[in-house]
Amino acid sequence: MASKVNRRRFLKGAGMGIAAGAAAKVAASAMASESPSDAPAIPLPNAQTKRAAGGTAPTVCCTPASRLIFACSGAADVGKIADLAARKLSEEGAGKMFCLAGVGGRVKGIMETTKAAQAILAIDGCPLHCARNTLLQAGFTKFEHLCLSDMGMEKGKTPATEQAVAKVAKRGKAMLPK
Amino acid sequence: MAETNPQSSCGCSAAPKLIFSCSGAADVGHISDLAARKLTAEGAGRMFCLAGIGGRVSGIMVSTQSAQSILAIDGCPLDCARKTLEEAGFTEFEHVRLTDLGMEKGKTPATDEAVAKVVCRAKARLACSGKV
Repeated sequence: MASKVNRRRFLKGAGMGIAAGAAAKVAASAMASESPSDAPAIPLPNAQTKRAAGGTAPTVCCTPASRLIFACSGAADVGKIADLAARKLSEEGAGKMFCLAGVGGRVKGIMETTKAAQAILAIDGCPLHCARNTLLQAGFTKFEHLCLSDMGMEKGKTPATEQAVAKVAKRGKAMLPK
Repeated sequence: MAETNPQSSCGCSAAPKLIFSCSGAADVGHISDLAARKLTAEGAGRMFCLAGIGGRVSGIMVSTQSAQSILAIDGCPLDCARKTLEEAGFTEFEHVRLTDLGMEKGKTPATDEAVAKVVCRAKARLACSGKV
């Protein structure tokens, strides 16, 4: 997945670099003003979209690809467990929890970083699969999916204990690339 | 999806006040999440699943459309919760942003005090919200 994503992203970036070059040659033409920019509106700390000086293609090849974790963070007990498990995995360095709401809200920087991810893990608390559906709605189809109800955790009957969180974190860690 | 509201403050409406937090990865996202849960526990409203909006889950969409009022809590100026609601067509809702309360992203540990501060502001917004 990573190679496909990175290759696609690189080609997209390279294409834009060519487009930018062409636009420069016909300076002040309408084409220049129509040239799109895919730079995040607000830079993210670990954004994979850094541009080299001079506005050339993004330096995707040389930056470490990220493993992103999205939790449904739902209102129920299992949503809370999903949320805390994502934070725990992030703290432990297994991946990086990321803002699912940024995907739901199509926030540019978050969308870009998610597109460039090496791997994505979605953690859902219940069979409504809200996190999974949020990613699918936004066009992300390749990701690992962990649903707490598949682990015997029943919605409304599973207090968010450290043990429950640890159990989910352990399963999630096993689903992420090393 | 029919909804009953045991937490209705005035008794004149069966529709609940729904609370959506961004629940983002940063400290301020964590505070927004904890604040929404605390508001629910205290009966000020009812936390609801923002991911259900982003994922267009039908039952959650219908419940949200019939809500008495909606409060979105965002941790940072990216306003992901607000934008998720807007992307789904919801335009009338209250909005609390933690950075507007002096909470800086990455420098605000999710302490009880921080959560309480957000809860206090959110309660004030919920108290005067509601469809008329």
